[in-house]
Amino acid sequence: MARQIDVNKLKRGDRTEFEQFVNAFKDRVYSTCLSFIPNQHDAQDLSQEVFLEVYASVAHFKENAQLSTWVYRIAVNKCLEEIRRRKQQKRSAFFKGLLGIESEAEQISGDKFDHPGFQAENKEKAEMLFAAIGSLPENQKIAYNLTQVEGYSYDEASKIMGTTIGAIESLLFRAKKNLRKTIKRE
Amino acid sequence: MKTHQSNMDLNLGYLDKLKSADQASLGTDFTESVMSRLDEERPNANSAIGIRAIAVIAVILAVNILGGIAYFNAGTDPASVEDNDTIESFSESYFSGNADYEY
Repeated sequence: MARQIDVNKLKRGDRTEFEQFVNAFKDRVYSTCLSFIPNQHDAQDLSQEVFLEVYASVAHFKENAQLSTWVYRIAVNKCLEEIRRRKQQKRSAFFKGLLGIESEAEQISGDKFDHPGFQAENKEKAEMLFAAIGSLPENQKIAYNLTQVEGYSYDEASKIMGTTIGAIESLLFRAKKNLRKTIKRE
Repeated sequence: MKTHQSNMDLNLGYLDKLKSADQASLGTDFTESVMSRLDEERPNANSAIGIRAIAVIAVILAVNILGGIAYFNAGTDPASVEDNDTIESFSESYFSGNADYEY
């Protein structure tokens, strides 16, 4: 990070400060989005949404957490919203399919694995692992992605998730157990 | 795919080995597009707030007008005036000596 971001300037809607802020946080936010939605175009779109949300709601930021924690929490929430939206879209497409009302415009896009951070020869392994992570219960998925995929410390992850380090450890234990089961089954 | 599974470790180190040297990152064009979207969306947000405010005012006015009409209609409609009940109950209690009046 080049320099400390002035939260008060952000709250006043200072555009230059916001631009600095985007430059400082964009890669970490993008990477976090990629761990939930492993498709570079979708993750970029989501990252943009995260920053627009930050700009719109920074005035309400209470400063009892670090700015970075707050931003990553917004990123995680945006990703979860998108995952839920896609599930809903799939369900609706399924029922429309049953009723024979299929439209091309409603076909689900963006589920294709296209994570730019993996070597070509490892993409198959990575895709399988990401699919397994995607099938985890929500809290386990967040804990696993933040700590094991993104490398956040347990302390950071607990602050982002608003829980304790002990809870993170427990979620990780269960996540790994579930992942092993899923991977063995496939 | 099964050949990979036995080797698959589920810790950070394993994913680090799979990752390429170039970490996923975004260029300055990303920042530019965020800033331009900000410019595009702010007028829209303002107009959306304006439309919502107008809608709320319209609903309040409509409720008030309808309430007023109902009130005046009720006042002029003879069927809605139920004075008889009041007079009867008063006279019953007065002549039976249960009235709360003392002379």
